[in-house]
Amino acid sequence: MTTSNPPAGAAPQTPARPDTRQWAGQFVIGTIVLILLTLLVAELDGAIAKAFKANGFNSNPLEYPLTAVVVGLVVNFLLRATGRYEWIRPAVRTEFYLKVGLVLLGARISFGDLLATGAGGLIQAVIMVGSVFTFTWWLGGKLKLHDTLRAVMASAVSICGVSAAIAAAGAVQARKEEVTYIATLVILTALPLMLLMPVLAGAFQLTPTVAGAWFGGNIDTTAAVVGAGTIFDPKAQEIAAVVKLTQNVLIGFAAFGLAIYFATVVKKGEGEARPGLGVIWQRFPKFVLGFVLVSLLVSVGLISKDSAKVIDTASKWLFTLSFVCIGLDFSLKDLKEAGWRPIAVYLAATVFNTVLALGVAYVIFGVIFPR
Amino acid sequence: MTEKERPPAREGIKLNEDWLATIVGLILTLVIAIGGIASIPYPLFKLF
Repeated sequence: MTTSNPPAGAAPQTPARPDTRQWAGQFVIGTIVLILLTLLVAELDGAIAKAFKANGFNSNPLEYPLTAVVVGLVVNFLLRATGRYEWIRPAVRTEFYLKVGLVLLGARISFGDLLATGAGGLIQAVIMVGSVFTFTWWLGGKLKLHDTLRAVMASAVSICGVSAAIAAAGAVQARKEEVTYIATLVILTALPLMLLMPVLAGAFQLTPTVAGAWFGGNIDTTAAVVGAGTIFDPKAQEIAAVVKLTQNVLIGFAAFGLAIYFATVVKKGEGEARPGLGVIWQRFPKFVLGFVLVSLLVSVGLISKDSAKVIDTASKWLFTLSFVCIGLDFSLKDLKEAGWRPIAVYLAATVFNTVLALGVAYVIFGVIFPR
Repeated sequence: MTEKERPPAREGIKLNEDWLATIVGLILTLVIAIGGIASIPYPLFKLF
């Protein structure tokens, strides 16, 4: 290959920066690896189900979210051990795949069900977010955590994990390390909850509706909420997703409230500008609009039932991608430097959240709006 | 132009991840609905 100078008068060509090219290469490699891993999960899931059936089990107790996370964790370990993790990092987009999957999940939930579940979910979300945020903020204060860390942690544990942590961090100007630290705690607690809560829900003989509302009201990451619902029952998955999305909608309000509080109380006199109402829309999880729109299109008949089934299956593929990414994304590195107090507050808040969510979900979805 | 005076490199259009996910999700929905994928025996969709 030869290189030539550009003709006279032509704009000089700017070659792509090496880091951009490298990023693109890693993105392509990562995407191929992710697709292959997702296919592997599907094959493994089928093989595991067959093995259980051959041994007299009616259903596969190891549902695909667990298989996907384990596959992700194993590959994560192998890539980090061989120094090849960077090759795939740009394609590891847990939240993005999950959000696309949630838009597609709208095809399975009728608009009427969405409104009914959303109404109960909104009441539950307001109670849960208010109570859990207050408890975490109070306990963080007792254990003398920094105000910005308290705000990020309280938002993450009470609303929706990493997304809420990022939104709160923006509102209170928290340090990047605080967000990374909370994100690690979120994943670390969400994974065991994703596996444990369906077992507990079975032991408590909860209906799929109450179980789904419990998962949606308690587990911090939306991916693990969908995972727990999938493991328990398809109906529980629907309810869990809707309840969690309703809770996600509150991110903007929480970010707005925190920004006001920090500007007027915590950082009073530091010349902080008073935030506007635009924060609510800025932080609103826009993919919820896509989810509602797809549900509406199916409900009014613009999308056929057959197509809706295929869209629903496509959402499963995207959820699987997301679950594989949870395993790939996992790292304990950021926990080491923070000490025991934030971990103690986070764990206490998670226990409080779990117990309260069970009671609230039971009252709202088992007594007030039984379905 | 010294290093300090040089304007920062253009970062390109940054689309919010939420909007991007919404657009990709809706495009997939339309492709499946309008493209009639439901009638195509697509083995990958039957693995789960």
